Amino acid sequence: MQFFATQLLNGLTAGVVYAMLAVGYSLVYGILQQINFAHGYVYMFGTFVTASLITSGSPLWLAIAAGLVAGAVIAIVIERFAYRPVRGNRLAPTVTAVGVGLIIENVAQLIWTSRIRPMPFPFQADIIRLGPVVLSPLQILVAAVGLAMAALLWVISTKTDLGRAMRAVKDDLATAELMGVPVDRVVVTVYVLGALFGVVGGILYGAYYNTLSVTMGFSGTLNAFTATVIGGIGSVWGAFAGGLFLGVLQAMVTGYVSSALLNTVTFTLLIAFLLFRPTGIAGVQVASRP
Amino acid sequence: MTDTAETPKMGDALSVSNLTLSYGGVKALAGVSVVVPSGEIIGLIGPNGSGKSSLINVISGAYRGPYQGEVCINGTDVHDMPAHRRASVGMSRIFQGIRLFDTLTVEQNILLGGHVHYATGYVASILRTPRARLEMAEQRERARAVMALFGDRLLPRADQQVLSLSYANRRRVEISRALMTAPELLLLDEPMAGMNPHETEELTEQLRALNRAQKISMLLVEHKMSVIGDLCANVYVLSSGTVIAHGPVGMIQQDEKVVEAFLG
Repeated sequence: MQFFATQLLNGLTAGVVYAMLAVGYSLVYGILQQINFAHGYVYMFGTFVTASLITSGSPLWLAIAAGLVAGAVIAIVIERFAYRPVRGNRLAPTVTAVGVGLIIENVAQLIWTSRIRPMPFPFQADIIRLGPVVLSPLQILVAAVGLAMAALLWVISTKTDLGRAMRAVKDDLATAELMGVPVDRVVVTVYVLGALFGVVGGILYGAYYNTLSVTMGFSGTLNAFTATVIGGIGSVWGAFAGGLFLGVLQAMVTGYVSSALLNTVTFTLLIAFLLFRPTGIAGVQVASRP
Repeated sequence: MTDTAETPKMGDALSVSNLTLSYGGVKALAGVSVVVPSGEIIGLIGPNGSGKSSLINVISGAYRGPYQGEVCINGTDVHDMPAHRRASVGMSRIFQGIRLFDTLTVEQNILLGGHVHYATGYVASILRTPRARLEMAEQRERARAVMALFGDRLLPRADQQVLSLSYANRRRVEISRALMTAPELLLLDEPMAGMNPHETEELTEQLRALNRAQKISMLLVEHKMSVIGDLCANVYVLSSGTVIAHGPVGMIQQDEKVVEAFLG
């Protein structure tokens, strides 16, 4: 029971991180029906900016802020030059996304090399015992940040003119524009929001696993994309649910079976959902464009 | 009067001059000139395929391709103006087929029309600053005032999803959303289509009241000649992409070219 509880907590922690990354996909897909394959590389770059600044002795808040700004700026540049010119085309944005992602990874390799490095972060060595369950302050931090980000997303979606405009653009982009909604501005804001969630997820990922690599963009992309599909691509709440589900499942497989089977289980699940439940847990039905 | 051009004047809500538009070699509009003087309701009629919707789409920015000629809204040439900015020069429209945001409620659909006037940015909106909350409250107040123009048709349904509404109420939501942009010029593309005689009469009165009370100029595309006769000072007749006649309704109905265009 103690082992199960510990694995469950580990899984939920990883799940929150996956959820953060998955939200970036779902936000963009929910509006443009486009898979933002560059997302993983954007959060990788932002996370490395934060890690580098922490290593060089910058205050933690400044390092995190710089990582978030870096992610936001890259998202804006990608949207403006790689996505907007081919918006509406089904294939071209996928190709430009993969290309831009590889460019970002190459630049990151030039700056930080391919070496796997630790992510210096407070609370990593501390342990808290709650009866039979062992957890770290970092896990509590991840859960708290996850809850705060979910609350922020809820406020944006339901309480702001931005959220209303996002839903209108999702329903009917052309009509939203004709009613005075600056669609380009809404879309770039969505990319930035996705990048910010991704960088937060990336920082939590690096801190929790205490390891960073420029290839984390690709592996994170695969896990987050799987979480997005499980949750129901296009639904941000589905992305949260999918992230938590995938995190717990991976923790259980690692604990009770073998970590060697992680990718097998993850991709079997991805294929199974795509084949038998493409609408995901949330049952998302994507409206067709008029 | 069967002139095909009218001289635009300062103060016109809309002036379209020599507009020519082709779709892949086929001329949809050929040298069309239309003027909507400020504060007037002008009709636009013509057989199916005559170019009425093409004209509305060029004016509103829904059509983004190249065209020749000039389109001015409240004196501003909108040739290079993106569609979303045309609302800020005082233009809004409703569509031939009702186009609402189906995942939003009645009130949210209407509030969306006010987006163009929001002064607080997205960040202030997310942070829910006092100014942002005040603006949101003012917009909601405005939305309720707009809904009240339709009596008790919309107000009790403000929190309902628009998909659950009757056809006529969906049309009222669409008009309310357009009114939230605070338009000086309203493009109405067959607003009475699909409405029964009672609903048609009611909406006709409401459009007349809007024109008189709020001085909203209108370009009205409509097949029901009784509505055109009730509301419009003048009417333009389009056929095969050209204006074949314009003038008062009574005169237009006697025009031989118009009779021929409609009856073949």
